[in-house]
This record gives sequence, C-alpha cells and structure tokens, in this order.
Amino acid sequence: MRNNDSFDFCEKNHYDCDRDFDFCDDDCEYNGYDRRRIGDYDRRNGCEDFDCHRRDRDCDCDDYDTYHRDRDCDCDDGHRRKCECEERGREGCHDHDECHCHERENDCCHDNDFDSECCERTARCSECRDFNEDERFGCNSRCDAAQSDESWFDCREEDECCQRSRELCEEEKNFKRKLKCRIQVLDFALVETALFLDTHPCDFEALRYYRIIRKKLARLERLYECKFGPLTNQGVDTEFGWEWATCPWPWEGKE
Amino acid sequence: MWTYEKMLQFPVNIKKADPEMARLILTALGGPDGEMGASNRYLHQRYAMPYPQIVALLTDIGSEEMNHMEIVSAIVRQLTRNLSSKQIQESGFDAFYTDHTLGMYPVSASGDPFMSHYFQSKGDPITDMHENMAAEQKARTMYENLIRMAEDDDVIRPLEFLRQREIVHYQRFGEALEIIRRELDCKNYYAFNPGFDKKASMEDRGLESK
Repeated sequence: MRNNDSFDFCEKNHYDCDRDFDFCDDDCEYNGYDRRRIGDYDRRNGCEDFDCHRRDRDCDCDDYDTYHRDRDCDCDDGHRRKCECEERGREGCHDHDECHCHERENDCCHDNDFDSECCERTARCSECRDFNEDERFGCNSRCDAAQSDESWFDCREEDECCQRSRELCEEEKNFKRKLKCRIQVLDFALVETALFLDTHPCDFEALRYYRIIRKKLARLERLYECKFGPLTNQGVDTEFGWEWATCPWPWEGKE
Repeated sequence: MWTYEKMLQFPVNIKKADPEMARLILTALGGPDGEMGASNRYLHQRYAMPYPQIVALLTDIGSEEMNHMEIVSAIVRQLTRNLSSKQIQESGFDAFYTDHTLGMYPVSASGDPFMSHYFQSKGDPITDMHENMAAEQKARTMYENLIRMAEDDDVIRPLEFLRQREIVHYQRFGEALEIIRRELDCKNYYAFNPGFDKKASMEDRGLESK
C-alpha cells in the first residue's frame, strides 16, 4: 500500500524546495532554434550599448570587481564607495543610505524570527538570502539590459523637453523610439522583479533592484510623457489638448 | 481596478503581411491555451485563494497575460494589413474574413470561438496551482509550434518573448505550490481544502488527520 510518508517534504529543508523547480539551467542551454536563444532578447530589446563590462570599468568604485558589476557599484554616482552587500556582515556596508542591509536585517528575518513584522505579513522565510539567483543557477549572463543604462538619454536634462510639435523630425523620431524602448526594458524588469518578489518577499537583492529600477522608470516615463504624449490616461498634459486619443496606439506599428 | 498604459510589453513591428500565419497566431489569443483563457483563469482563481502572497502572484500574472493579449492582437493586426482579396482567398484567411472582416475576435487555429471551458477555477489551491502550471506548459508548446512555422523574424521575436514568459510563470507557480504545501499538513496535503475548510486555521495546521 502506498504511504503518504514517502512524500514527506518536512524531512527536507523547506527553503531549499524551489530547487525542485530549477528550470533555469535548461533555459540557458536551450538552443533548439538558432539565433533564438533565451536571454538574447535583452540584447535585442533596446540595450544597444551592449558592452556593460567595458563601461563599468569607467566607474570609480575603489574596489571594483568585474564579477560583482552593477550590483555593488552604483554607477549613477561613481564616487560612492563600494558597498559590500554580498557579505551582509555588520562591517560590510559603508553606505547605509545606499544599502539598507542593516536595518532590513533588524526588521526582518535575521534570526529566523517568524513573528517579525515582515514575515508575518508575507511568506515565511527562514534566512536572508545573500546570494544571487542568477549565479546560483549559473545563468549569469553578465548583462542586465535594465541595469546597463547610462544610455545617452538617461543623462539628458529634463527641462530640455516640453517643446512639442505635431511633426517630429527624424532625430526626434529616433529619440522617441529609443526612449520608448528603454521604458519597455525598465517596465519589463519591474514586472519580472515583482513576480519574483511575490514568491521571494525577503530577497534583499531583489528588493534593492526593484527600488533602483522603479526610480529610473518613473523618471523616464515623466520625460516621455512630457515630450511625446501620455502613457496612461492619467498622464495627459492638457497644455496640448486631449492627446490621449490622438497619438498613435501601440498595435498600429507606427513607431 | 486596472489602468491602461499606451505601450506594448514587447515591441511589435511587422512589415510583411501574412494572413495565413495571422490565422494560426489567433489561437494564442482565444485558443484552448490562449492568453484570454490564461488571464481569466488567474484573475478568477484569486478570490478563493487563502494565501495573500499567492493572491498577489495571481493578480500580477493575470494582469501580465492581458499585456500578452495585446501583443498577440498587435501581431495579428499587423499581419493582416493591406490585404488584397486574392491574398485573403488563397491564404485560408477567407473563413475568418467572412465572419469578422479584419476585426479581432478570439478563435482557435481550428476556428472554434473562445470558450470558458478552456480554463478552470476549482477553489482548491493545490488543484488550481496544478491547473496553472499545466496551462503554462501547454502554452509554451503552442508557442514553440508557432515559432517553428513562422519565417519572418519580426513575428518570431515577440513569439519567443511570449514563450519565455510562459516558462517564468511556470517557475513562479511552482514556487507558489511549494508555499502552499508548506502551509499544509505534510503527512497528508489533502486532509482538508484550505480554500474551504475551517480546519485550515493556524492552530490546526499539521494536527489533523494523522
């Protein structure tokens, strides 16, 4: 007779269970179709300056390590000291504003404390995850389209915008296309991180990533709406009339 | 409540019309494993789901499936631009054209209109999560079949993206299933239905039906 005890998940460490759903390795090696590999879409989807590796070397982090790339150094401000988030040790963080390891550890999960505020509200989590999922699954492609910005329009002054005209010149069309593409990349990164956080609510790396991407996205959406028209019907700048219906719809393929 | 963003989740820019491919790709909208069924499945399962983090996951993925409906519709729309009547007759698009002209209508590749039989909301978290994982795998297979038949790179790219999303969603639902199991009596997951029975309350977890 079949006994349910043979399926005793309790014997195992619960929190290793998502290894049972380790499809990531397969994905990375998937090459059923030539030039249709998973992961390539990041490159096609707007990250034109693909070589993050080279670019990051320009940043002034004093302890730059190629392997830890964007995660450790915030290239928006290259003069900031590197923050050792990887270690999550007490001495690790030099910059508490940039990385909230310390306070987060106190708030949530540090001592496997199920009663702490965070874990009560969300899923139970027994430990702080101090590793990166990509590295764990061997999927580290070393390029994250959402993180690898410093694209030229990211640095553009925002008050340069708001001089709209009906007909866009070629350069403006080009800019619009690039900006939209960039917003799509960031928006997608946010969607993906949100799904990940739904099942890994205490993953610091993901929370930090979410915060960074959200900030970047909000800025570029504001720039886009100011320059080229509304993205939502709550973002209509009525100085130019009611543009919600008049600018092209995304499925028309006019962009 | 939902708001609409005037933006596709993944860009679709198809230059060459292909009504035959359009007819097949319509199945990704309203077919048995289409995005319409997926979106409805997750958004309807939310209400009986007792675990808040999984309600959040169902909401987020259900909303993303709506993005995918729009991507599929954009592909079909752009594949059927500027058709001549000869093209319509020769491509097998004539049957759809007769009923809907170039309007978007959710049908399967074999011509059946969308039915709610395509999805299930069972009110039992374990059952629903298995339903969802199976649905994501079926949709992945469908996209792979479509990618094999497509020749235009402009069509293949968004289809590939949609295929990848099915895999990510499968992974997330797998994790959700683990979270549900963690909350149940590990000697017998089926001792009660946490979406219905009062036994699912905190004190009783793991104590019943040993």
